[in-house]
Amino acid sequence: MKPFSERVVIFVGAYGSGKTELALNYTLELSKCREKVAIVDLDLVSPYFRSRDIKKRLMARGIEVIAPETEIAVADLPVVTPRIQGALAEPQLQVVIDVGGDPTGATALGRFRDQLISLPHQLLLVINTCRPFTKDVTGIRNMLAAIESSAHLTITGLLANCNLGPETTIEVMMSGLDIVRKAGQECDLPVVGMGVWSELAGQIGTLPVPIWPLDIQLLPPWLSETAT
Amino acid sequence: MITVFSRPRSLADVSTHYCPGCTHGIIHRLVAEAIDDFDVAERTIGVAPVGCAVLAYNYFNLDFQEAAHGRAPAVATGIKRALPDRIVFTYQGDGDLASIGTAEIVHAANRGEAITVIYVNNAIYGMTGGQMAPTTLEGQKTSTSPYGRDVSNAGYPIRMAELLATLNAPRYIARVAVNSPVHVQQAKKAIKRAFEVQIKENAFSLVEVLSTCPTNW
Amino acid sequence: MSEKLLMKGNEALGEAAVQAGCRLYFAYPITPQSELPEYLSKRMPEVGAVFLQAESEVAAINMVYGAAGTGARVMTSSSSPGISLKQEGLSYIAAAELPCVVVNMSRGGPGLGSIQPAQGDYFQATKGGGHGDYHLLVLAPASVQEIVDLTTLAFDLADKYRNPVMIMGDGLLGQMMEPVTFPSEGSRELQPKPWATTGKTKDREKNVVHSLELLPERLEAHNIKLQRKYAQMEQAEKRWEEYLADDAEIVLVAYGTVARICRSAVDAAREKGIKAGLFRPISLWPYPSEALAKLTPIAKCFLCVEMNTGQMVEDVRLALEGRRPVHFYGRTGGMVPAPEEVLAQIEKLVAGRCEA
Repeated sequence: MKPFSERVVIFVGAYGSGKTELALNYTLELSKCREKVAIVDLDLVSPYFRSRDIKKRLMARGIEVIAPETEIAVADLPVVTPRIQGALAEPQLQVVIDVGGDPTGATALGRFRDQLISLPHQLLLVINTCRPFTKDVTGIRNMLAAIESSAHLTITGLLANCNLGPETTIEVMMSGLDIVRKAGQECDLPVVGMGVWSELAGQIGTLPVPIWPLDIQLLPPWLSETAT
Repeated sequence: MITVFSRPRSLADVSTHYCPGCTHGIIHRLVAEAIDDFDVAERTIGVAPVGCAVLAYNYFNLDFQEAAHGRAPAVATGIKRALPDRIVFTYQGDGDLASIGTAEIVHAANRGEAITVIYVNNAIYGMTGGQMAPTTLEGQKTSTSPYGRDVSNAGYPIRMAELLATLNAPRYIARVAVNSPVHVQQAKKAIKRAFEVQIKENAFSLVEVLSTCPTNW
Repeated sequence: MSEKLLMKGNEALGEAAVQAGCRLYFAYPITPQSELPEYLSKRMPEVGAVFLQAESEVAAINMVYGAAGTGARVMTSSSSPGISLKQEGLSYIAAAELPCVVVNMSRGGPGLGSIQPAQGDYFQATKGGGHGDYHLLVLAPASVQEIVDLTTLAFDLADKYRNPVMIMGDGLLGQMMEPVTFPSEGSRELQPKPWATTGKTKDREKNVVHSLELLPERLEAHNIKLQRKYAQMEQAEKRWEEYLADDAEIVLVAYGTVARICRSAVDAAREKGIKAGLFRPISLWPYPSEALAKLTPIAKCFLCVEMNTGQMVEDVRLALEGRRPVHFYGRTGGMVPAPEEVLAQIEKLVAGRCEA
């Protein structure tokens, strides 16, 4: 994956489409070539599996994690921190925004519309065709329209992340990518990449879109190597 | 010989447990008459409360469910949502509806559930032995307000019909009494209208019937 | 729908309910299970079914009572504090012998607690919860696919026994995503329910759904009837899974999320040459006591691991009747034990020769 030239990259999509994993992997990659990188955890709708859960790991890489502090981070409270506006206003800071799922989650992004439209940004719709509401082109188009409507912003590209978790096969990924590319054609949007597990990235060969190799960051406790 | 007066078909051929002078018997009869008048007994389901009318299911010739205290409007909601073409009514007292079940009645009414609520208000907890109810009148003596209801301590008698009438969804809310033949006739008309609102307009209706407690007053 | 999808536990449960013929769902929002009402608010109208957000948990469970009394397949869901509010209704539903499915994606307690996963509601689920002598059937899935399978089963068991069935998950199971398939649609024929209140027609006596029995003789008879039913459930509905338990000298006992963690710990222990195994109850009530006790000839000791301060461990001790030492390891408040923590416990027990 090649970092975008835009300073602000935002990940939106349906629940469970893989926004957080893609945003985290992108941020970690970005931190290798850019000095000042921040990730905004704007997921106000999911209680678990959020960027803030690996805050320490990210901070160790010099990444600023913008999320509710202290116990509010694990509270049942949809809190937006004031730092987000400040971060967007810092010209030297690369900002990655991990938004909550579905139009419901994208609503929280809407309040930053006025600031964002004046900034060069990428607004990427993450799509997993193995998820129930984005199985086909119609589903993807509906999700895209609903998220744009809640976020009051325009999607700039599609990002395929077609997988069945541990049962992902090359076939699953390829047939999913076809659907995403069709959706891209119909919506006149580029498919900017395809998330592929690092273990599978070697097997998949060349794709018509850039490969985003992924190292899964948020695992359930029985798969985690180290206790947090 | 022409029969001019008989037991409504929807009323079971049994004696009730109600005390002499209690108006539950009259109100049961008015409900049964309304159901017979519309000929809907075969598709009517009643919901009995916790209170003196807890055994109401024994006195009607109808399918019935008995609800937990105050929950009759929620139970009726479940029945009506499952069987939208059936006629569903609750029969509740003032402790049941105006105290422990306030949330359920307010929200069933506010959703405009197509049910009919018969709300029998005798200003006292009759079943449990004459304790103060939310509807007990100012100064009224009960077993838990032995010096008379003191509004500075217990608040004022709550006016459920007026409260519910402020909502948009309910189509018909009335208060009637059954203490004289004229009032009984008026009550009959109101109860019939309440069922009509459910049957013809698919809307929420409630009739508050002022009642007595000859045993505990 | 036979295709494979990647789904969150909460969503998969909702879809499985729809496909099992659930036609009414009443609930009140609470974290961490809100994806379930959100999913069903989209899905139920698609199949002409009822989604209704109730004014409270109390109202929701009583709506379930009313709908179940008409014979419909009906469900509610919540998380720990909300399940506490439903206890009144559950007691009435059990007493009136109404079939329904209740989901608890449990979280940290007591009180408002936290929104992190926990198993502190085991006693509440298996030992009553509400007032009176009654039992829920309690099923505890450990994967998203098992959530689907047990949801389907839950509706069938509810109808079979005219009894509420609880699906006991935890926040993590509800939130995690795994691949799932659904049993093919249209295959289930529901049995008639002649007891349901659907309107008294001339060809039958009136049906009354109630729990009031004023005469002690009659209430006792009703209780005996219920107990007979529970005894049948104990005969027929015990479910469990064993993993490397045959030759295990130390047997871990865990359900749900914790069983997944213990499985990893068992694998790690086996790699170190320790004969560890796992016994995973799938039905928490009835508890698979006999199957657990059968492991005693080889097992030297048992280690019960829970996300609470020790609840299921009492059933493990009852099952083993003192024949083997039973140890306990728990994390609570929303803390999830890591496989290494459990492995450390196993190693400690092995070093101490599994003694009490």
